[in-house]
Amino acid sequence: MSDPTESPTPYDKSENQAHISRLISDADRAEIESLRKKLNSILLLGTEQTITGASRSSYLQQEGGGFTEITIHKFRRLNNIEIKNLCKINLIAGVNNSGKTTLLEAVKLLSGLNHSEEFINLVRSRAKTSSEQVDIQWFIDQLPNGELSGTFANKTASLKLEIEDIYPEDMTQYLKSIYFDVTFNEQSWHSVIHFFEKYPRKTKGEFVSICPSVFSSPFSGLEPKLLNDCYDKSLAEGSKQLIIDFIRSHIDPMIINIEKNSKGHFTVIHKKISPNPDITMFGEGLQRIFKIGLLFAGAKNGVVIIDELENAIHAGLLPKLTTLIYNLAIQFNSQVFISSHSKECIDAFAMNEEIPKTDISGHSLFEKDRNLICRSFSGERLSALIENIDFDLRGGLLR
Amino acid sequence: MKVLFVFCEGPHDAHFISRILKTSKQYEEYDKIIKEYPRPLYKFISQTLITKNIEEIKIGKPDKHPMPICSLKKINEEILVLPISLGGIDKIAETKFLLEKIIISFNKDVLEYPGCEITAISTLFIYDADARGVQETIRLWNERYFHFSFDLEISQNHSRWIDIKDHRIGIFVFTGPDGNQGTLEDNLIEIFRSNSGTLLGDAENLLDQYFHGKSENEDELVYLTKKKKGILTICGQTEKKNAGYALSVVVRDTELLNNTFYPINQNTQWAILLNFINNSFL
Repeated sequence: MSDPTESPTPYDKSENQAHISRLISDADRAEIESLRKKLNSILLLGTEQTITGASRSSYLQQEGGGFTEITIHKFRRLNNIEIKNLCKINLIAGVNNSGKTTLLEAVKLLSGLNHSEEFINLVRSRAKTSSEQVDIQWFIDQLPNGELSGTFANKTASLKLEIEDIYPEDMTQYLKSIYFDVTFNEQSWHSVIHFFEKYPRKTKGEFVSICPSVFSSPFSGLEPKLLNDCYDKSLAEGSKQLIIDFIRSHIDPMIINIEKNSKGHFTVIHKKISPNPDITMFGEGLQRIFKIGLLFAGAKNGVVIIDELENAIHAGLLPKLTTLIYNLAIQFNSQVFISSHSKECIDAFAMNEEIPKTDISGHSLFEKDRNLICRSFSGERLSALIENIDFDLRGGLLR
Repeated sequence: MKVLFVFCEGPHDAHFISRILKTSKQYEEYDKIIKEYPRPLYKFISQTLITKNIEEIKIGKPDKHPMPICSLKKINEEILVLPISLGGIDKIAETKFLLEKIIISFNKDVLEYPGCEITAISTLFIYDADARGVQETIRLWNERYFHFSFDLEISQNHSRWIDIKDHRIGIFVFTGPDGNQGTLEDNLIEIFRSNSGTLLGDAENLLDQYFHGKSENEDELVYLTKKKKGILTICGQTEKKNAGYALSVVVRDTELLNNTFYPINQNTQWAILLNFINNSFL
């Protein structure tokens, strides 16, 4: 028995490390290395340290109003792309690798201006994996230069992104910086985010967004915090019931409700399944419709962006879904940007008699003379062309 | 491929255009099934010109959607001519319907679209001057479909092309011997008379036995035009020894027109019409 008054044996850190080192296998080492990378990613991407002058993002346009035109001067592979005649529902189509998702990202960026967290989430979403699995160096390599402008509620907006690798202070672990030059309604803001290999990023400047915006992609999951926030707002605003009614009418009449449990997961109250299953027990289409429906509440007076809407959704359901999306857009005064690979999906919007043609526009991205160009069509013209020549907005005329 | 839509009053007018073009040896029949037509013309014909909803047609009621009477391609050139019968100058709704469909469907943005095999579109209206006269026919045409504010005086050939954005619109007016009033039938009667020997005279004599003058409320020129149509039809039926021929079939098949059109005499009005059609694209 040891003497309680005796001083404890001094902790020998190096000896313990050596001991542990002898005990772990090569497989353990690989796992530890993987965990180390993940932790680094979380440190880099998940946390933020603000420097003097920084403040929380605020929305410059509280009343909504939407974009009427956007110009992508330069962003990823898109150059000098003008998207005109934007309205309530804007359909973006094109062949594979035509830049549809990039165009949607540009809309998201311009809506968010220099909102640092949204910017990082957007870049990270390209990895199509959970945030913990994003490799730091990969993330840094994906940071885009860019120049965008547009008109939102008759006010001009612009965003210029510039990547630099010069950090004026301590260069330890420094990777890169991204500078934001932002204007809206003749006011301007400048901000910067500095990225480091093992330290939290540092931000400087005032951060502003034009309006709230949400982005749904079938390939990268929505941030749980965003989804939970949208759920709460949707519940409060009454739109959740609209979504449940839609699911019950068109997908599964046995579903009574879908509720968020204490862990933030969604549980389905079902007449024939007990105990209440998690929503992941149901089809991808049902989950996607539910989540897209919730998002509108998170973009009140703002912008909802949906990449490949038709993904996991049966073509026969699309006409009804377009009406739901339009009704939600009206309820929340949201502007919607939707990309699609599906002619059925585009036609469902354009030919939907419940949606005024003045609230629809179609935009086709295609290559001409080795340049990507965007051709815009009003809803009235798009529906007439579909009716007359079975027009295909995806960038080719059908035989 | 460039496509010229020719709006005609009746099927015999459309066949007449076809005869001029074919006889000139500059055009030939475009003998393809519709799905082999250049994109998106195939879809336009199948979705717009042919009724797509068979459920919406009443039995016994004709389908109102127009269909090209024939299809002709210019030899060694990518030009397609589609004469369409719209049923008369007063079929305003039908004409507007088709004109708007053409303008909407073949706008520049569609012509420049990936996969589009049409490079240009023109539309030509062909009317009879009737008793209205040439200028009144043109005024009516403008009032009904275009509202051009500029002076629509046209050449002595009664024809004119007008460029509207990327679309060429043309008008050609048939007149009789006085050069102001009249119809295509006035011209056909004279051509048949000079080429048919006694056939035309016999047909006139036959109809004269039963038709002695217009009825009380009938327009004189309308009455005479109907009678001329009857004469031409009987003449063609006699020529072909087939009493079942309609006027449009007579115009399509009669050999009485051959000598008049070929070789095209550069001084005739038919040569003028041919040249006018050949100018349908810039």
